[in-house]
Amino acid sequence: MNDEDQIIAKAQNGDSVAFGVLYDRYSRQIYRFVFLKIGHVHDTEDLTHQVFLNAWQNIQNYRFQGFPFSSWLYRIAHNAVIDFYRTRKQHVDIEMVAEDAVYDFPDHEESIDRKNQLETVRAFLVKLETDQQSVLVMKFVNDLSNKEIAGILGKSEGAVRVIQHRALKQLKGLIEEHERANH
Amino acid sequence: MNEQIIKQLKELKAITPREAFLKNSKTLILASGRSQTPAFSLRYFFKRPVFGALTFAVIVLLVIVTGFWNVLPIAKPAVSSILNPADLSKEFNDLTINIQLKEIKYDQAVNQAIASAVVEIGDNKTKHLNRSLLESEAPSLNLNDSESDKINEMLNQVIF
Repeated sequence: MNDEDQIIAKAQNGDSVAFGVLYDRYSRQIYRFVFLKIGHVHDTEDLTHQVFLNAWQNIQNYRFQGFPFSSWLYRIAHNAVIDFYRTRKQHVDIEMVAEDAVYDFPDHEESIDRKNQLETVRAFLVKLETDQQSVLVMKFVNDLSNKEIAGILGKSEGAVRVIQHRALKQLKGLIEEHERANH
Repeated sequence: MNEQIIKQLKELKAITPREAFLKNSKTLILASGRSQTPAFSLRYFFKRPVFGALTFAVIVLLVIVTGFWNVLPIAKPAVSSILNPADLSKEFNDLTINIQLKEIKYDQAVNQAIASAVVEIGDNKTKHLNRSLLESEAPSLNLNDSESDKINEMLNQVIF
């Protein structure tokens, strides 16, 4: 039993300190995943809080099935975002979001330009289909493997590769169209 | 171009939550507590509307069944006889025979009446039903006879 398995076992026995360790380990990447799909900081905070509250309340139901604990968290987050879109149907406004997001750039001199550039990418990312967003964010932003992504989305690894290819192609098209319109 | 987009996607790792949010969220979640019992918990059970509805349905069913079994001893003889296949079969057979007998008796009575009527119609001696006899008597009838009027009046007094 590795380190994380022991922590999970303690959390399942009601050890809140152990769950706190898991929270610290995964909260940022879950937050990023949710924010890149929703685009509003306050909604992202609400949803992220709900994801971890849900996980803590139901951790006794977690069973290792070949995927790490983070996959279980991503599945909860993925479903939470789907429910969010079903009930709220938010539309993303680039100008509004640019003031909301918090970026942690190591070089502050480049921060404004980089932030604007990244905000453009993020805004177009939100325009993709839900699964396409999920694959790109999990793969390139949060560094999950195709196998983990497949487990989270309930698809085959082959399907994940196809979704990734189509998502990149579509995102590229949207960015090029935007650049043509602005020049 | 894909490499450029992938590079920009990777740079989105710079997105980070507010530290104040992380601290508050973690505190609230860990303070919320969690049921220590695994899988089944009464509190969890009754919080779910569907389980509450199922429980109510089971209780109602138990009440009905209990009430039925309390009434059952009193009604048992009647119920038993009603439900006993042998008794039911005997009753049915008796019923069928009775119906048949009654039908036969009725048919016999009707046949007798018809037979009597036919005999009377064909018999010249039965004066009141013989058509040819009635026709032969018609001319001799005096409908304006005053005596007939008196007789009619007396008959009316008797009848009414």
